[in-house]
Amino acid sequence: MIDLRPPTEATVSPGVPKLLQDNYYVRFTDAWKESGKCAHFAGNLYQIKRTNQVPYDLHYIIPTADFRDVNLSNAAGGERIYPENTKTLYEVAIGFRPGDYLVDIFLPAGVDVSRLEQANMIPNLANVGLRYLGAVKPSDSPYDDKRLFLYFVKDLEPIILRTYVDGGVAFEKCTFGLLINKCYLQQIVSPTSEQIKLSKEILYYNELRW
Amino acid sequence: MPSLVTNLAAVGLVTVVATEKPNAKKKITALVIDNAAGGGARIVQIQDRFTPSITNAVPVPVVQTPSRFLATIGATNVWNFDDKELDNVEVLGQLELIIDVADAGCIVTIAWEHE
Repeated sequence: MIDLRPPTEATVSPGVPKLLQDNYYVRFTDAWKESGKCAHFAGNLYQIKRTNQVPYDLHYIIPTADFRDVNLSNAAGGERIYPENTKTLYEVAIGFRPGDYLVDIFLPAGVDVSRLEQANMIPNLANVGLRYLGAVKPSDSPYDDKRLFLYFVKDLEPIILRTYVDGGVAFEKCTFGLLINKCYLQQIVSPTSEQIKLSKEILYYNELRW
Repeated sequence: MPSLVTNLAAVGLVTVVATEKPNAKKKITALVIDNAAGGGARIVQIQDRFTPSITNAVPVPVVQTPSRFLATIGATNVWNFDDKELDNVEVLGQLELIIDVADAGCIVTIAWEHE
């Protein structure tokens, strides 16, 4: 699931934690059946027994009008941000240090997440207009106020952050601040309606592309 | 916010100022070039040094050394560059100072912060 949270319009007191916490519930939608190796999560509800927050920074220097595909998976050449344990969920909050760059999200490789319904409205770095379609700017999710949330389980298809340096600078340093919230899951085999109501729904990525 | 005072007598004319924090840019916040005891007019540069990441277009990147700031300081002069002049001077990698002629009498005070 990908969740780019907008700035708040109202405050709630007491405050609501940004990250999943101990004893919270998460529920994987039935659409996870389409996920191949992760299909065993489909329709299940889990309680988070333990969490551990791990900060990590990724940084790249990229020339103007060029891009790098940052693969967050554990595949060869990837950044290895995926869990290896079948009972672990990673909630990854990503914030960006300022710079003249854009980030397009692909899942799996070659298939962009952000598109509109008209056939030509897909992100395209070669097009001066469509370059900005669906692209996340550093100001959308600042390093110190992370608003882009991704959810990873073992063997999920690779998520690619295509990082493109826009014109105006010869080179740009693109720094991603990651906060990886490791969540240890325990399945609730027969959840109550109250547990289901309280749970956070984890969508499968295909559900974002109806 | 780190700062450093150094003369520019380095053999090879390059003085390495800062290498820390590869996960951030260095933004220059203050620069004083004191050439009062220098041997003549000097050209002083702030130079960046880094190796870019592998990208779609450049599978084998090479070291880059772009100049980020350059000033000619007359003999006996002291120049103080404020934040207006330094506003957009950013260094992506290693921060270096370069002088055209090694000169122990040319003293630079430089400060930077990480962004």
